[in-house]
Amino acid sequence: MAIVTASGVGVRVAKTWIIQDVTLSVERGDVWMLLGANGAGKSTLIKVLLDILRPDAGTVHRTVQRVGYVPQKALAGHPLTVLEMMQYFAALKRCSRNEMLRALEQTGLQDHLQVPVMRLSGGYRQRLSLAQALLGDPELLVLDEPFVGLDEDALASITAILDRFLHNGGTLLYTTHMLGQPFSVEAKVALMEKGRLVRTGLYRELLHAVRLSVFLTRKLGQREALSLVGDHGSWMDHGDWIEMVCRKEDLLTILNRFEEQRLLLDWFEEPLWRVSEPPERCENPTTCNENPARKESVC
Amino acid sequence: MLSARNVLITVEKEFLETVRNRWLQGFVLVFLILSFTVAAIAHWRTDSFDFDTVHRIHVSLLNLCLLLIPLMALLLGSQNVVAERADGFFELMCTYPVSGFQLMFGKFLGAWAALGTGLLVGVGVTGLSLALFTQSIGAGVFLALLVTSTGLAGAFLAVGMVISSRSRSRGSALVTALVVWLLAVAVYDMVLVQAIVAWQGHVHPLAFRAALFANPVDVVRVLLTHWLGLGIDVGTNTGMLEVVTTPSTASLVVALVLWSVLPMLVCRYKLHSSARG
Repeated sequence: MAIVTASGVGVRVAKTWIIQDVTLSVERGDVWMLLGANGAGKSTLIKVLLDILRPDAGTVHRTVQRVGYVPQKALAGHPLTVLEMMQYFAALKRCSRNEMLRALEQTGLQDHLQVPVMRLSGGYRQRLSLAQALLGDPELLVLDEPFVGLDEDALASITAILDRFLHNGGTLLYTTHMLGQPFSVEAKVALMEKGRLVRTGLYRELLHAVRLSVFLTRKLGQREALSLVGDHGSWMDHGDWIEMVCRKEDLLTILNRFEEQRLLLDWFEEPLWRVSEPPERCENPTTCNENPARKESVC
Repeated sequence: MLSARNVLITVEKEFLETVRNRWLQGFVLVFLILSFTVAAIAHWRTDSFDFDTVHRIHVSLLNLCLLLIPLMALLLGSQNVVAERADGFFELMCTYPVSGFQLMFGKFLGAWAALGTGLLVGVGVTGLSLALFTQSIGAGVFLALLVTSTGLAGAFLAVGMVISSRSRSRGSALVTALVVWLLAVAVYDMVLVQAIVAWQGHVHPLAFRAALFANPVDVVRVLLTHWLGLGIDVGTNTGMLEVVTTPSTASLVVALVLWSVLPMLVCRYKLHSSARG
């Protein structure tokens, strides 16, 4: 049963559409990963789904009331202590003190109750953000870039909390710009690009589809790199490299284009591309023999 | 709908935050230093705390309040909304069962209470200290100063919050607040007095009275000259304003209250529309 449905949603600022024609349906128990480069419109879409922003086009329908939200950079400048801040949130959500203390304990903040929020590290601030979101027994958790700037311990801790939440039947929707940070291989992925939802599917299907990371921008520039990818893949700009996501069958087309331009071996010393999925049985031995690099990745 | 509980919860949080604000703490400290300096200089010049000296201290403290309190209230108010919008707090609040108006009203009352506490410390300690040294300082004077100062702080805090809710960045909010302060404290009554000199007799006195009410600094200045009988000592401009506009004390009090209420109505903050910015 869909608990959040967006149909043809668009948000415009001045004359520019920040997101356009987005249709998405979140069902109870789903894990949705909104994936896309910075500026793709992920956060804007989340705000629309949460009714923080009103869409200029389309409709959003939400059937759940108890929602927990973790904004991207919340609570940075507050001089209140962790305990005082949580008391404020708990009072607004009409939560008991026990429930508040449980949320603090779940997020590992019980030893930081008297620390001013503004003095917390990024990881602990993120924990606090999650703690307030967990108040009131939410049915849906929405997290905006929850894994940014976290060390391994914090990442593991937050992942464990979210695991528990999902185990108890919760629904999770989160944004990320890194495909390499999956929360769950059972997640559904919505790939956003320039404000549009360009692809949706299961994360493990995308893993099968191949993750291709190409160190291109330094040598080629974005425009040429994109012309090589063409319509076969989506891309995310990480500054000095572009991460491309495409289906396996499209990969061969793209690689052929690279090969035609003699880019694969002549221009780069580092591995040009990496594949995150485990090797599969070779489907095309001829191609593999011709190109060892391709054999490693595709087969 | 105005839920008193949500407002009170927000008042408590905002009060704690504002009391811990270093600007406010610095302001109280500066106010104390300056008010003691004023008293010390007055005492040093006459070597006594006679009636004239005390009168001079009253006038100096009033001018100090009129100068510093709008500045402090505007600075606090102007950063209040824009800072929390920048760090995503307002977005977060959109997912809470609290309306934008409850949030803004609670924030205003909490910050006002904190400012009032700061003034209580600043004006109160000065008054108590002077009372210990002299027998001629009446508690009523300092009470009047405290009440009107708190009203003035409320008016400019509300104006500051309007500025903050309309600004896109902390910097622009700060600059706008400073410009408003300069206009209200230094420029406005000069222009008004020049207008009176130029157009008195040609313009209906009610227009001048309306112009007086348009600036809470002048409202408080004239109100205190009424209450404390400070007269022309507060400044020639004030004396002229009082004589020409002849406002009643009640109308001045109403004007001061309106200055705190009306900006908050303008400020009926729409979280949804602001989240986009």
